[in-house]
Amino acid sequence: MTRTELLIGQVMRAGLFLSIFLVLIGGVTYLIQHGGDTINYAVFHGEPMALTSPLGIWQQFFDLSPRGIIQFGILILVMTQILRVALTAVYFIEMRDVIFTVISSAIFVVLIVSFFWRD
Amino acid sequence: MTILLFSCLLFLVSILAGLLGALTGLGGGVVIIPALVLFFDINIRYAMGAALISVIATSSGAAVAYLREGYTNLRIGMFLETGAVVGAFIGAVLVAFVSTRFIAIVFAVILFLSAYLTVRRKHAQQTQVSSHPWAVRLQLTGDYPTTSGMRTYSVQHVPAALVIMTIAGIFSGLLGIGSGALKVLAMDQALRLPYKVATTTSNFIIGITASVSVGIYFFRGYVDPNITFPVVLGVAIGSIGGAKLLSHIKSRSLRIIFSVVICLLGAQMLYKGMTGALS
Repeated sequence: MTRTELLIGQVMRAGLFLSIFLVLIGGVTYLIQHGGDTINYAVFHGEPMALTSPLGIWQQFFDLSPRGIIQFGILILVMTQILRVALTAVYFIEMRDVIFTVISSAIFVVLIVSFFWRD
Repeated sequence: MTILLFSCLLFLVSILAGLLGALTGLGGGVVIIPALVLFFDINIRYAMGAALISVIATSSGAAVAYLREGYTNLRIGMFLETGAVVGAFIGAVLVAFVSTRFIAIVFAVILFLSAYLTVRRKHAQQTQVSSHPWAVRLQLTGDYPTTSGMRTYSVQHVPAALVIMTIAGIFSGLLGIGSGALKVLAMDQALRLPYKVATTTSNFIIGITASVSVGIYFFRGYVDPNITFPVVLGVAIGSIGGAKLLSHIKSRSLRIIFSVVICLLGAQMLYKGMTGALS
């Protein structure tokens, strides 16, 4: 296996660990504040607007809201996926492999578009 | 149930989900959705959001070990992913025109059939030496670790695998989950890859497929931090552990585990189709 291949795997794991770190901080803080409350998720209410868009989550994160910190951690995990597909494209560029560079780049574009797509 | 108790129980379930998800190449969703809906009485939309995030976490937790040990075939993964992405788009368009209840029942039948086909294939060794012309042209062949060192493998029926992957994408676009089962099937039954190459390569690409839907799931409010928090932590631990176990497990045992898990998924789909509950 090549250096770039290993780098792809390491980026995925680094993204997961950064995500876990944030989720753990947000989650434990939330449990300290609300651990004794009763859960009720039988009915779907959706999420507050602030927790559904990247910009809103970014603001919640800087307000140090525990739920915002968790959501930001999840967002890091997702953005790591986009990054690793970009790295895969770089890997095939290094290999001078035209077909697979096109394939990886196309998947990268689909990921970017779908990330911002709203129905 | 208090939030503290709920978080602890869900954390434990998620470790199991990550472990099974990483070993089978299916991701954690197969275990997460029924656990949340049936045992914790969580609304299906929140469960789908948590399952999607669990698939990305499983894929990320196990990928580095599988890449380092040399199981994952990056070229096959990315090539087949194009079929899945196109299929997912077709599925998302079709969803307005077809009955998802009917689709769910069809998918359940396919899953039970897949379980049978997976267990039936007994040959550990590949019999054919030459590969399909497309596989040669695209350099899809590779080698993988066995107890007696690295062994090269051939790659068969590439067009058939691409068709199955597109169908997998359509199902995941229509139903939200379950495309991992057909991904492993495409690589096992059509490409005739060694079983561990099929499951680890599936593990690598399911994170990408799941990421395609994640923007929409966030926007619709399916991703709730209180539910995803114990899921991400548990699944990460389970998948890293699962990846360490893989080289010690016989392919035959892995086929049986996979078949049991996709029968569980088939039962979920049948339930979804019959009751219309999981829509």
